[in-house]
Amino acid sequence: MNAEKCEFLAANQQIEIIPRISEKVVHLISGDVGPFEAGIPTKIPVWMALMLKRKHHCHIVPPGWLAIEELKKILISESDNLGLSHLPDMFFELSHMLVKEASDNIFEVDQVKSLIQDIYDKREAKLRTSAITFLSQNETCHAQLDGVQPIEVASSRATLEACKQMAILIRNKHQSTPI
Amino acid sequence: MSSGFSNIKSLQNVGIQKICIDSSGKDRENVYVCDSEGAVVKFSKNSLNGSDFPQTFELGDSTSASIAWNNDNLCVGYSIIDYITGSDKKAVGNVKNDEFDSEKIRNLLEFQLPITTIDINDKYLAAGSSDFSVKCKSLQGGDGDLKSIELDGEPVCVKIDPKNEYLAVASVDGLITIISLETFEVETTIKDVFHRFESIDVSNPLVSITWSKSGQKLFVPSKNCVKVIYRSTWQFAASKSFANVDSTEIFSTSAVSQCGKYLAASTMSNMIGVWDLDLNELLKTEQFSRNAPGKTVITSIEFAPFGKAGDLLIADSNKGICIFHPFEDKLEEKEENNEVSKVSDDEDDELVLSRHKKPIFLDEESMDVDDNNSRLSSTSMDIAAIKKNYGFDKPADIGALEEFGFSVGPADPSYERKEEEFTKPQVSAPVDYIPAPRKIMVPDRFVCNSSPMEVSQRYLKYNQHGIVKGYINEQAKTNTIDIEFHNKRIHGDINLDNFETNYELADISLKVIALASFESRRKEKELDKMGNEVNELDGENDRSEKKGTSELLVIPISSFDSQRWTITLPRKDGAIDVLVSETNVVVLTAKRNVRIFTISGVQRQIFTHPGPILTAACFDNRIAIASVSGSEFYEADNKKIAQWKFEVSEYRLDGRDWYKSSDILKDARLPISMGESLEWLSYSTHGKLLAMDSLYNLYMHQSSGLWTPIFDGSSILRSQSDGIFPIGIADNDAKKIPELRYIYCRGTKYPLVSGINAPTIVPIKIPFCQPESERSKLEHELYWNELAMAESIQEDDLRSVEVLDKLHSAALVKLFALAVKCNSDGRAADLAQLVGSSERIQMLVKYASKNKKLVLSDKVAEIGRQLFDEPSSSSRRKYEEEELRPTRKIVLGATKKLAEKVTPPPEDEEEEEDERNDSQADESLIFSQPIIPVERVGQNPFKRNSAASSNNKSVFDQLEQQTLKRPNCEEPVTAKKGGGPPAKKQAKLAFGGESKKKNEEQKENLKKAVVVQQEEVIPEFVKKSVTPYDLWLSESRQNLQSEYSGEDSEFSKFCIQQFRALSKAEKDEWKQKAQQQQQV
Repeated sequence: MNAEKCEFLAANQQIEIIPRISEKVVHLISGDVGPFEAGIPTKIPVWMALMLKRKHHCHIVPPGWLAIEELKKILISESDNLGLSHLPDMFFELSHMLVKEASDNIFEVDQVKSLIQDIYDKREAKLRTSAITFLSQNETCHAQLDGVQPIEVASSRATLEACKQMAILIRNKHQSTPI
Repeated sequence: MSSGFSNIKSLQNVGIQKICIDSSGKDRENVYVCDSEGAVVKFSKNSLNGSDFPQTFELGDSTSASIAWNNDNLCVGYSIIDYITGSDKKAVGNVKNDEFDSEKIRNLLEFQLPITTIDINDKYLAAGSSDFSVKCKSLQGGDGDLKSIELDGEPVCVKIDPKNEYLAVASVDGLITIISLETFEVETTIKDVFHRFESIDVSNPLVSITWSKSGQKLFVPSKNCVKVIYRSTWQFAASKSFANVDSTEIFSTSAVSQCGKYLAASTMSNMIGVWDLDLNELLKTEQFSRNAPGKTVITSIEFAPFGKAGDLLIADSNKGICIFHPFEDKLEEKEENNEVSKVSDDEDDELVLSRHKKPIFLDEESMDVDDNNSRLSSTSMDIAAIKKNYGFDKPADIGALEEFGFSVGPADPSYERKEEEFTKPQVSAPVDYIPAPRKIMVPDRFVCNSSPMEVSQRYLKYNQHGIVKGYINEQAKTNTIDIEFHNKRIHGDINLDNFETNYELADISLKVIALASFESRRKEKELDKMGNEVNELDGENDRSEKKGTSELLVIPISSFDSQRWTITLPRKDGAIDVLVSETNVVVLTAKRNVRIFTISGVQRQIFTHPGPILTAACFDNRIAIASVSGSEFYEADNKKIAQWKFEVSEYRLDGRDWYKSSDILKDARLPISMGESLEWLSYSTHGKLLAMDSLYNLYMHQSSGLWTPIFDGSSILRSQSDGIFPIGIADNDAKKIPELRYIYCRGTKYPLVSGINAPTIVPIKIPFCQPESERSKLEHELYWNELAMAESIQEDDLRSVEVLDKLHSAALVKLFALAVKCNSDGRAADLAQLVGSSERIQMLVKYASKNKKLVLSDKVAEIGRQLFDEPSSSSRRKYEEEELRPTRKIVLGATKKLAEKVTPPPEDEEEEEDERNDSQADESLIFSQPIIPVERVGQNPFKRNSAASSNNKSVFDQLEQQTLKRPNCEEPVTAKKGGGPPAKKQAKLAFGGESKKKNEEQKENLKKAVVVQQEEVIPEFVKKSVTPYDLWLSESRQNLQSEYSGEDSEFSKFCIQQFRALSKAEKDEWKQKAQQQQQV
């Protein structure tokens, strides 16, 4: 799974929009959405919200955690915690999609963007250092990772895969007998 | 500009300005003014009074209107950005010799966020920052130690105690924190001194606190007064407050003169007051006003170190600084007197001079408590002499001097002669001290569904149809308006350049958008100038009417002619509000005129509203204008808060036939909570008038004239600083109950234009008690239904009345059932009173009977008789006459048949027998009497027979008939003629069936009912002979009596129990015996 696939999965999350059109109920495979009344908030999947947004048929109401104050709190908790703090589901995927496509609906989007980047950097640094610590010690061979976001799993997959390969190589080396 | 103010000198930037004077008092020639944009301006005496230019310095990348000065130390809060590292630094810089180059500035304190306030004296430097921290540094002994403390609110002003013991900090959360300078720990926190606010800006008070010169008192600008906090107790006394003439003012700044005698303060509405601290008396009030565009608020006030005593330096948020001479006239008089006295006596000269130096006499610092009595007494004598000169020679006029240990001593004989000479020319002097007459302004005018005018990005209108947003960027000199409908299919977004037109009023409906501008003095001047030039060129002398500057722009949407049009309103009658509906454009003007245009621009009506216009709303052809009437009033619960009588006038101006209508104007009082004001006025989508007060209580005006509370916004506020911005009320066809749409504003009263504001939708709810209970829900439904019915009746909408009536009955029956289940017969009877038709009350009787509530069923039947049989029962019945008439006919027919046709009783079943016995037993329990046939037991007096013919009577006529016939002894005979012995049986009731089967059933029921009726009047001995129980009782009475040892009244109960205890075989036996006896 790569970042694109993570975003694809995240697009199924529900998000609030303010429609700029009035429409009846739309029947989708995943369930019915609507009815839409112009100016009245309703919840629809993110992919649909983005599609309507592109057509200027709606305003997207950013989730509460995408406000600067909330992001600052997350950043502080990320700094305070040794491990990874728990973030809202699909945090990075959703924020990436919204910042990219609905920037006019996000208040002080530049600051939001930089805060998300900071949070991502902090978590990435934690993951990296913990991976190095884990690999450098010999006693245990397993580790627990809580609160990892799908996109982080996807990004660290290559490293973990490499570690696995290295472990196989090392094991083979130990098991092999010199000729 | 009033005569007390000097010419306004221009500053560099708009926003908060802070004046700074040398607190050491050494430099008496210069002052500094610091703004929020990075400029520090140095004014000298000449540059403020004369034509010299001030010196302007740029400091760092920005400053934050925080500056303090003591001797050589000028400290300024500023921030500087390092573009290489990308970091920014906020620091308090020490500027020496006017070298504002950032490299030459020594940073004394550093903070994370901009510095909001600084204070300095010869020993300490203290500063507060937006990061909630307050830092203090000792200036003695090199770098000195740095102390810091974190507060709960953003510090807005810090002041060091003149005794160098405490630091007073005012923070935005409404607290005064006293910090010990030695330990730098919080000594005490004083609450409720002033109201909390959110941020430090020109729209909020700056709460510049001041210590008295002695340090014994701390003056805090607050609402309605400047409060005095006493050092001894750290408590403020309201009695020592310096109330201004207008009690609704919010004080923002304060300053104490260097001599310590005078206190000056300014309010958010630019009223300046000067008090004499010794006399505790208001000396002067003056309104500061400017004609410059933009918001002008006094942001700093200081006593000028130069010029006449008591002169004030005033800086405002609109780039202005000036000198205010509060005692100008008086000093001139004194100077004149001085000249006279110079001629007369040299000693008098000293006294006159000493009057100018009066503050020095009253200088608290100079009056050490340990001073010897002789000095005090001489000082007192001086004061007495001076006071006599000012006309305060009565003992009662000593004012607050006792606080300072003063008393009126015997007048010095040496002064007596001087007094004689001075009192005469100064008779008029005390006139200056008479406070101005008390006046209270009516609440400010406002535009509903819009943000305040002051902000640069605001909603000109946000209603149910769309949004009109205005963006002003003064620096870039842009002013634009964005118009968007919620439904973009009505019309796409419209963007207008508003730089020239400067529209500030707007309204939007589905058919039209209207924009209007206020009158502009600047434009008027330009127009006049141009007009004069043209006239001079043309050589015309006749003056034509001057053109106005207030303009109305109308953009019709999806109408026959969608051509935009503009119209200029007459001069001095500019727009103050603009409203649109589906058919009209309404402009309210400065002369209180209401101008009505059609969408295409035809001027239809103009009339004058008789009263101040507070706000207005429009729907279709109705215009509601809110205003206040009468003067303010006070209630015992809150004596200090002025209340107003809010009224709304509703004009109904049908564009076509308005002149045919007689009731164009309707007035109503507005329901506003105590001490609150009107916040919002609007119409719902169905044209109901709505009003909301500043406590967010929303009321709906019903057609009956009642105001119904439908929403309590204060209950949903999460924080005191939060606000509710109502959008409107829309009817939800699916849920039948209208919905309120509003924006919840966190930390503000109005929604921010940036970002997305998602409206919250809540169904409106009348605040019944215990809203979660089922009963309250039904009661709510019932009441709401009645309100809706009242409106439909007034509108003659019979179809909706019919529908609502059904819903009303349904709710009523549910409530009745609930009351019956809860054994609340009284409540059930009350509900029965509300029933609108006999059929429905019949249902209730039936329901009560089924639930064995015999007393209740009787009561309900009685209510039914009262309501529907008496001709003057209620007006409601009149309305339902037509509905009742067919029913009555049917029942009358049935009664006629009843009299003629008597059917034999059906066969008795064992169960029925038991049931009858049970009912008898119950009754015997209730009445504690021997078993007797009870009237109407098991019968439904309201039973309707569908087989009835046309000439029938109502069910209550039936009841009456029965009641009348009951004593008649012939009736049983008739009954007996009809066949076998009647059986007592509960009649089964059926209502309104149309099918044949149902008719047959009803006929059966009718027969049964007849039997019941006959049975009721059958003599007891006839009935006793036929029942197995009676047979058994008669035969085994003796045995039973021998067995029974209780009271006689309980005997029947005992008998029934015994009969029930019999086996089925025995019961069958007795049953057979009874049948045999009957046959015999």
